[in-house]
Amino acid sequence: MLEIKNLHVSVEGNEILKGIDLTINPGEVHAIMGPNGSGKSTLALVLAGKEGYEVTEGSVLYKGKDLLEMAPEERACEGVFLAFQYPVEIPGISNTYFLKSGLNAKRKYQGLEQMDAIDFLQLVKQKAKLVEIDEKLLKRPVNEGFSGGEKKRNEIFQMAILDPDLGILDETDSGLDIDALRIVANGVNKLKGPEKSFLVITHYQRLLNYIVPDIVHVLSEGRIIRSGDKNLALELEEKGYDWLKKEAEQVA
Amino acid sequence: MKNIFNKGNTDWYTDAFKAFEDRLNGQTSSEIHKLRKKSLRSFQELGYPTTKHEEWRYTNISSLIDNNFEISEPYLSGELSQKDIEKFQFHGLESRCLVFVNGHFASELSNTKDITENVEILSLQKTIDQNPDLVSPHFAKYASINDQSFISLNTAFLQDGTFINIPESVRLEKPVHLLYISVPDVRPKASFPRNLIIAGRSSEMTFIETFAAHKEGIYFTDTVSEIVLHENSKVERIKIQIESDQAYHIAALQAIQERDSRFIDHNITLGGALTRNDINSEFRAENGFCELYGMYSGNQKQHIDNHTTIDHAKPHCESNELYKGILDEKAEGVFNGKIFVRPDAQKTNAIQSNNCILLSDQATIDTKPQLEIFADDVKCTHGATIGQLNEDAYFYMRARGIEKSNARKLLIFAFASEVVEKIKFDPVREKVLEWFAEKLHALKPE
Repeated sequence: MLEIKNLHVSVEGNEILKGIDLTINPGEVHAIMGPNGSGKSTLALVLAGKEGYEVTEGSVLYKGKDLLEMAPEERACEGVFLAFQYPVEIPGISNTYFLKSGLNAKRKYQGLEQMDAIDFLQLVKQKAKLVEIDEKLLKRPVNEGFSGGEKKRNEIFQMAILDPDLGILDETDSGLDIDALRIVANGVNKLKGPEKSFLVITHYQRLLNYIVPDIVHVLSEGRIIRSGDKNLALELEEKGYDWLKKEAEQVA
Repeated sequence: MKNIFNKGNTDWYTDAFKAFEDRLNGQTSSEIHKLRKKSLRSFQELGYPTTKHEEWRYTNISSLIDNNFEISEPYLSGELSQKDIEKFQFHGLESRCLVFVNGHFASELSNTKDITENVEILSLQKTIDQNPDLVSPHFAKYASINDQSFISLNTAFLQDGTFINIPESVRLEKPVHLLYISVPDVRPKASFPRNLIIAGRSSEMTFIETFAAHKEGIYFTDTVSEIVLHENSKVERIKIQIESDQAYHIAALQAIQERDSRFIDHNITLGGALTRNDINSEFRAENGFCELYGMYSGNQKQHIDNHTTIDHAKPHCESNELYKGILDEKAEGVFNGKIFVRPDAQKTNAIQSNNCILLSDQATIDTKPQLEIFADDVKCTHGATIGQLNEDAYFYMRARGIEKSNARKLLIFAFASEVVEKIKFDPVREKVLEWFAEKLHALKPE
């Protein structure tokens, strides 16, 4: 599904990612943990195609194609979805209209017919239930006046509608209470499948009690310093990141 | 006569006025004609404004003066057909429509059926001819011919326009559509539509003004509206300017607000080479309410200038103003928003904001909020922003699969919609959005 090789990324001349290697197979859930400033969000935004992130070295293959060559909208249409750490408010565009435009853009890309208003509404109803989002919110402008939890739930709702093959969650759990967290995780779990992969970026081990990862990676100062199974997350929770950092330094 | 003309044919209007008088046939001794002559003298005194004039600093009209405009001729039956005007109508909106071609009333194209009894919605010319007493107490009493060149010019050549008189406590459910169509000629024409709207005590009405072109070409429209809002009345105007890309459009509106009255204005500018709007409201008594909304979109070398004045002369009045502009390519925008709060006007509540986005490095905006406050117990706020499209939102949309030129258009739409949404007649709002969308399609993708 995703094959990242020796990825180096600079932002405004500062090297943030210093050689990432990561392979995600279809059906797998990978978690990336790490302290603040380790480059977690940079990795997410580079994969989504944000401008201003310069890839200085390395490659990213997505379903065998060069992901870095694609425009952000192309990546989305190919099935990459980023749940933003900070979802953007867009006054003047309703959530529903926004999503319908996205979905139909994807369908057009796939050579499918445009979804009409009635089918779309049905899809919305069904998926809104999945993430327990109030349908009234959907008529409002995109994220405008939403609470933090509503914004995050809206991200998962959008993911449910667009049905990506690779879902990247950038700290979707940060700032959520347990109830909201459970809803978000539940949404993700229902989207899982043998052909779907997830990259879950988080600062807290707590989320991984609900979304159980196949592999956990620890990112520190732009490098993956340790990978392991879900128990690695528990160990991190207990001991913090410092012991890993020290180990990594010793190796270096 | 002060010679402050820049260049070109400086006194085309003297000959034009003679020709115009000849056509008036027997009316030259009327009161109205005396007013015309007075206005012409006033215009001769004032001359055209130059950029040395504080109110015209950012709007250079020399290209307007370079044209030798002729006064437009009355409408000839058959000149246009219903089919020609159909695209300027609002489908699904029940309204009466008065159609003017080159500033002259075209009865055969208009629909004045079903007008409530006692309500007068008439061609101004007809009213002046048949019932001058209705018009004279108010006419040219508010829009001053003494200090604004284009008001004096309009009054000098005034011939036709709309007269609306709503009696006490009458509410017009259906809006009145005033459709001004210009038919450009090889010899550029000037037309001078004039409106007088009188809203009686506790009356309510909405009128829509559409300024459009039958085809591309050069012409000049100089229009003036005077609106009198008697006690507790409500008047809403929706102006939509989709003139030819080569048109000159200069418009003044003066509203007079008596006690408890409400005036709401929507000012949409999409067309024209050079546009200038002067929109003024004066609170003459307490508890008045005024809302001014504006949306303008310019590309190529369009120049769009909006000057507004809200005169809080009396206490306990409220005003709310929101203007939004979208400028691309080499378009130029000007916004000047004056709010006067006179010493007597305690408890005034005035909000003004003007936001503009520049889509190209060569587009410019000169924006000037001008609050002059002489009372101490008031709430006044203003804000002006100039920016580019929200990059984060742009990326967010693309990350959801929306193609970039479409994302850009959606964002521009979203920006403008805050103003356009204030138009509550669905067919009108939708049509405005449709015209705006057409204009956006004409914008080059990034």
